[in-house]
Amino acid sequence: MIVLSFLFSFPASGQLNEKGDSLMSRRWYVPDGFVATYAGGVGLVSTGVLYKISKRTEATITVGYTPPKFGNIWTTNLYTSYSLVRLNFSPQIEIRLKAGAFLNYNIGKNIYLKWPEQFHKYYYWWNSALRYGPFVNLEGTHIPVSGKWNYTLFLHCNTNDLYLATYRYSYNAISFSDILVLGVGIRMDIKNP
Amino acid sequence: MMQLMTKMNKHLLIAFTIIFATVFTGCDLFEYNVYESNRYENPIEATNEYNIGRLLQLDHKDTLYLVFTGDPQRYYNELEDMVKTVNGLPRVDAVFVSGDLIEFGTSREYEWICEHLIKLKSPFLTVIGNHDCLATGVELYQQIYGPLNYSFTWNKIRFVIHNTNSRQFNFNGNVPDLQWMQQSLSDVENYEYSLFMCHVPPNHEDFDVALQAEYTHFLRNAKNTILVANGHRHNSSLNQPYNDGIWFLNTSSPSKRELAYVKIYTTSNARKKFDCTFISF
Repeated sequence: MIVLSFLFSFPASGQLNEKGDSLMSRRWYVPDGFVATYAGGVGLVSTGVLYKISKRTEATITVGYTPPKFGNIWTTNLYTSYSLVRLNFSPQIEIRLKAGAFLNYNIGKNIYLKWPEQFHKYYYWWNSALRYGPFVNLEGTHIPVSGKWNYTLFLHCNTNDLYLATYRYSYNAISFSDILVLGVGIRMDIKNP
Repeated sequence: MMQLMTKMNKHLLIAFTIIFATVFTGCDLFEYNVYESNRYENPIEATNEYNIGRLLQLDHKDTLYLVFTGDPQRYYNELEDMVKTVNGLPRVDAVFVSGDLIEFGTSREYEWICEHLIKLKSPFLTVIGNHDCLATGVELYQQIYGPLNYSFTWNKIRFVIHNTNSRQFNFNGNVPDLQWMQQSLSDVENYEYSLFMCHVPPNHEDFDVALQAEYTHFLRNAKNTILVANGHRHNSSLNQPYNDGIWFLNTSSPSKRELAYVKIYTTSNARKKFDCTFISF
């Protein structure tokens, strides 16, 4: 939180200094918002920052944690998304449907980025620590009339390479909804960065 | 128009909240991690202890009809067909699944395999395979099915079901647990025959070669060993790899659409006390 406060203290683009000169655009590493999520396959809770790449595309980086009772697993995650549909029901309420892809790195006991040496090459053909797959987000955003921030509540739905590999061979015995993973979260992002 | 928009916003907000509330409270797809543990409500019908209890309630039989299979992994279509086939056989006293219940070590796979296996009408017993050990798999297996090594006596047969996934434990000298095996066979007055099930057979490179001699000694010298069932190879076979009178039944995977149907004759004086038929489905 201290790091995030420090990052958000940098002036946004478009502001003028006391001399009236335009300030530099916000430094590239300063996030455009931050996010917190429950579940979604990356932790009991995960939190992170987001960057708006263009009007419709954004990238989100999060860190997640699943406590010892449920596995004791840390994750770092990257999401890239594209806004497919946007509905403005009023100047203050916006609904968006976004789709994208994620990469998830799991850190925990018996979870390996590289299989241990006792396993010869291709003994296990998949990567234990890295998961990737598609996702969609349904977002409802409140845009206050005044203030710096927009506030969003979102529902997240993804699947991953392992579940897809299973469904490919077992589509009769398990349903498509069986391979979906849900999460729900909130985000705050800067208006017009 | 503004009034209409405000009314629509209100309805939209309510609809959005209801969708979220419904999904959030009623759905078990909110997964913490693909490898999460301790979140699945394990059906008691899947536990080895429950199924042993079912077997011990049966009357003594001179002939037992057993099905052996293994390595269902991610082939649920074929597993579903196998369950239907087994349920349609004239008589099945028990089903033995020789490991690799899942493929990737994810928690959700453990749910799926349970959902399919509990559809078997007969009691079923499982052993841990190498795939079942991945990530939090050892913990998940124990939560859902029970100990990695267990034994019980049914119909005068001492069933010794044990972990032989040596490579998965980096050939640490404790897998298989030979001390446990010795203890599980020591009370010879309490049983007449022995039957073993494991996942990795002793003549496979994934079995700890340093333990092979002592392990096969136990098999050879156990009381009236009927057979040793294992999986891992995904191919049906029945042979005596050590030419010592001990039969090894390698069970096929449902992916190969074949299972082993074994009749055991406990009253026979013959050295080989069973017949095995490989059934395609």
